Amino acid sequence: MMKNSKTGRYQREGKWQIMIHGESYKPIVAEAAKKSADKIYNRIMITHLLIDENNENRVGGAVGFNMRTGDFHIFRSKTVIVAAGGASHIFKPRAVGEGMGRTWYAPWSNGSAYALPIAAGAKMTQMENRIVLCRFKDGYGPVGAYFLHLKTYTQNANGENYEKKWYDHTKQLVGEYIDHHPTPTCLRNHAFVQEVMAGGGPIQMVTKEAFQDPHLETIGWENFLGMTVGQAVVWASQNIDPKYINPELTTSEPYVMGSHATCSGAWVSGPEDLSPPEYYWGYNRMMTIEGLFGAGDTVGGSAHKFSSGSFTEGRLAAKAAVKYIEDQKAINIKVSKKQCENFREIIYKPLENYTVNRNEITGGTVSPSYFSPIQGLQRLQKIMDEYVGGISVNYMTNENLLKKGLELLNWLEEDLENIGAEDYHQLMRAWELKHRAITSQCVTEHTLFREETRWPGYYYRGDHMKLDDDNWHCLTVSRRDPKTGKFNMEKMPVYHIIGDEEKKKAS
Amino acid sequence: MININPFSQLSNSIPPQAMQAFVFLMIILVVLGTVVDMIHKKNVRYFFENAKKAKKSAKKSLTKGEKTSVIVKTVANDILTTAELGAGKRRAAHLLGMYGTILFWLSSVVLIFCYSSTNSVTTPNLWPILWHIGAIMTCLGGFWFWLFLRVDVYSEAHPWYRIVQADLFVLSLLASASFGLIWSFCLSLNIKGLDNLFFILFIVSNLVLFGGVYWSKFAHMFYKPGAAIQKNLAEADGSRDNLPPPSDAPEQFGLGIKREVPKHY
Amino acid sequence: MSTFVYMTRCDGCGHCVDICPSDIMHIDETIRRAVNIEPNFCWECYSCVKACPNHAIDVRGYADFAPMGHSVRVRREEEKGTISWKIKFRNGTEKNFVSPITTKPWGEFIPKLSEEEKPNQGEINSQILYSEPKGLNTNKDLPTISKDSFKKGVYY
Repeated sequence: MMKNSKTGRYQREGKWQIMIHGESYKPIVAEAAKKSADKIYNRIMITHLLIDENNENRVGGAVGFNMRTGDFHIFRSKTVIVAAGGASHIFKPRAVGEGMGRTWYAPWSNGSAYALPIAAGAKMTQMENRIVLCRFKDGYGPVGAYFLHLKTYTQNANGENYEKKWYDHTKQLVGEYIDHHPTPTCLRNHAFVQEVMAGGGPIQMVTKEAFQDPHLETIGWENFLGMTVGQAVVWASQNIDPKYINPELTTSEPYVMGSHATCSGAWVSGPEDLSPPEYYWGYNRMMTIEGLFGAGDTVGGSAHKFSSGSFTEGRLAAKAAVKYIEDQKAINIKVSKKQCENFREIIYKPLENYTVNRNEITGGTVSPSYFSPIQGLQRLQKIMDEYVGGISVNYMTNENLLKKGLELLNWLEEDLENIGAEDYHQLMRAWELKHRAITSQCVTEHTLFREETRWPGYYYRGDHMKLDDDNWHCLTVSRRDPKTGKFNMEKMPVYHIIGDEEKKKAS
Repeated sequence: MININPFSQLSNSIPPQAMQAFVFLMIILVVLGTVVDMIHKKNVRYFFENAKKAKKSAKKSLTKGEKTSVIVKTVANDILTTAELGAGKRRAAHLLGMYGTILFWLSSVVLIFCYSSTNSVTTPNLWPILWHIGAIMTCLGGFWFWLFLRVDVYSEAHPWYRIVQADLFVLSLLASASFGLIWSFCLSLNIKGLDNLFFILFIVSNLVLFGGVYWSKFAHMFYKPGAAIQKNLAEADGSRDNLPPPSDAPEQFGLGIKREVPKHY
Repeated sequence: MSTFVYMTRCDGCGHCVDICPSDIMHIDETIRRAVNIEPNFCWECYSCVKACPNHAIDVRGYADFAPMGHSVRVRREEEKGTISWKIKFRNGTEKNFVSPITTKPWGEFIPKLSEEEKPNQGEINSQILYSEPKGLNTNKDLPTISKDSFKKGVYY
């Protein structure tokens, strides 16, 4: 981040963003983390949360395994802060084969942010609110800096401003929301998707003008080289020099996350000084399970956090967790050896499945008794893609499709008991898949519950194509019963921080 | 024991000609293994084609003198001191093992060809001492590496006793040096029986070491220098394997990632 | 795109294995050098490419959409705080960039929180975080909203 030389504070880009410049994100963040923590455990896959046996609704720690040594780890603790990643790869990605890893959100964001609290019985909110990104084709290079900084703009293949073209159509679906400024991300996606379906593709980013300035050209390239090198590789391989060619854009497959332009995640308590009663139960960022806190992608209902916002949320959660402990809320937690041993057996079962049943076949990857994590992942992606509104159906779904999808997801859940892992690395992939699968169930249940199309461009409920403020101007909240595996849905109120008049003034 | 020539004692039971023939056999095995390796894997052809490719993207053509100086520098820096391993334990262990092995093999050849028959001139002290020191250095460097520095053990958390194909070379080399030393020790103490046992083990480990070239990492001693020369030539002619040149900036940021051993799990 | 490792350059130091966020850089059992074991889980984040002290790791655009013959290589010099790129297009066009890593010297200017004074009860109960507001280079109180100003939305 840069310093504003006039104010001495963080340099802003646009209305509210503080841009991160440069690269080496991982080493820089890792260094600060290493310096400020007493003890760091690395390469541990956390698979489950431990629950207090004296109070079913209180957390007692977490268990996991080391993906290198294979050691079983039990962390007994007074509080737990879940700060894991959102979910990529639950919908079938546009890239296939070797390129499968080239998704917009990193493949190691495997939905643990949601799977851990869901499995423990925490309430989740807005899980239907998956995100679709409009990005440079194939590499998913960022467009934000191109719009804000380089003043580039989009057009269809005939050089027309297609967004204008779809204004009236969009207004019929969502009403006055199309007039908000800046235009909501999903509505810009909507125009993109409609234009492509109407045959106006490819949609291009007009870079030829801006890139004639060598300074801006350098900014454009370095923007990729700092964070999405893959886009530079795509352009180099396809001879796309944006100085002479306007590069193509695309809309990505959907992702589930709570820190970008969508707000999926856990239903957490707000801060004491601001929260209305429905949002407040004592500790900032604490979920509906006592002692269980969240930050970043984990926390729902607070979008646009990005990197620095997620860090700050981590600080909020940590502070509240300390207060929780100081208030003596974490005394007499009971986590028996039996609970831990039970988890140990569950965690290593995929290794067992593979080793035992490998004897059945001569070789290869086809077995009637187990399947590999990648095979399971592709099965999950196909279900989500075709039934819950992925790319191959142009983000369209409806009640019938969702119900069928849930049935298929339930069978997948049953079959995941038979997943096989040949080593600790594959064991990690197996658990990543299990986390993705439970996240997907929650996403599907939420999508079925909200009977409207609130975010055209993210997904469409074909049976309820219009935005319905009378019935659905609310947050959706779910809870999965850990004993039965059944989801229970409810609505929660939306409070507006800004009144209608101020809102009009701002836009 | 260190100044005893074990081969001259051996000549009581095995004629020097047989020993010399064994050395020849070992050399033939290495040559054969390497040639089969080259034919089968076509790695030398890759080297030449890669060199041609690099030449095409060269920014300037090097004179003979420049080329020679790059090669001399590579030999002095990259090959003789294995600079690519950086400063630290890995390089120390490698140097110890490398020079130990060279000494061990060189002195073996000298002892077998010049001083192995009992009725010829008495062995000067130097060569048996070099033979023993070479073997000891090989063992020190090799065991240090094998027990503590193997990257699959410290990076991947494999148990130290897990043996994979990559261990064929280092383990047979260690076996040959260790059994040689023990054999010589038994001879010096005149322990009958055991000396023969370890002599046989010494022979077997040599057969594995030199006969296993095709399957082991033995051939890396031939390819590594070639690769180092090619890398430095590419640096000198500006093609740099498509890498950008070093930036023109002062070193004022301290060491980053290289400050720590890569072991974070 | 996915990473691959040049046989002639890798010496098996393990920096890539250590840094890979996807846990896919591993050590091969036959040659004891690094190898990408799961290219389809590679995000081309370039962490390993940049971390390699021998420039032994490179990237070839993903097989499913990138034509061959391109190259995007990097030299990251932590001591100098710079990162240099060389991009080669399939048609031979070259582009070179040198930019700062934009960080402070490694290992310096990281607050040692454990040496700070323990927060008192008032500070723990307040909404203010460590070093606020001073750390944000302001002496004014941070802006707040009153709870009453919230307008309840339409619901149920």
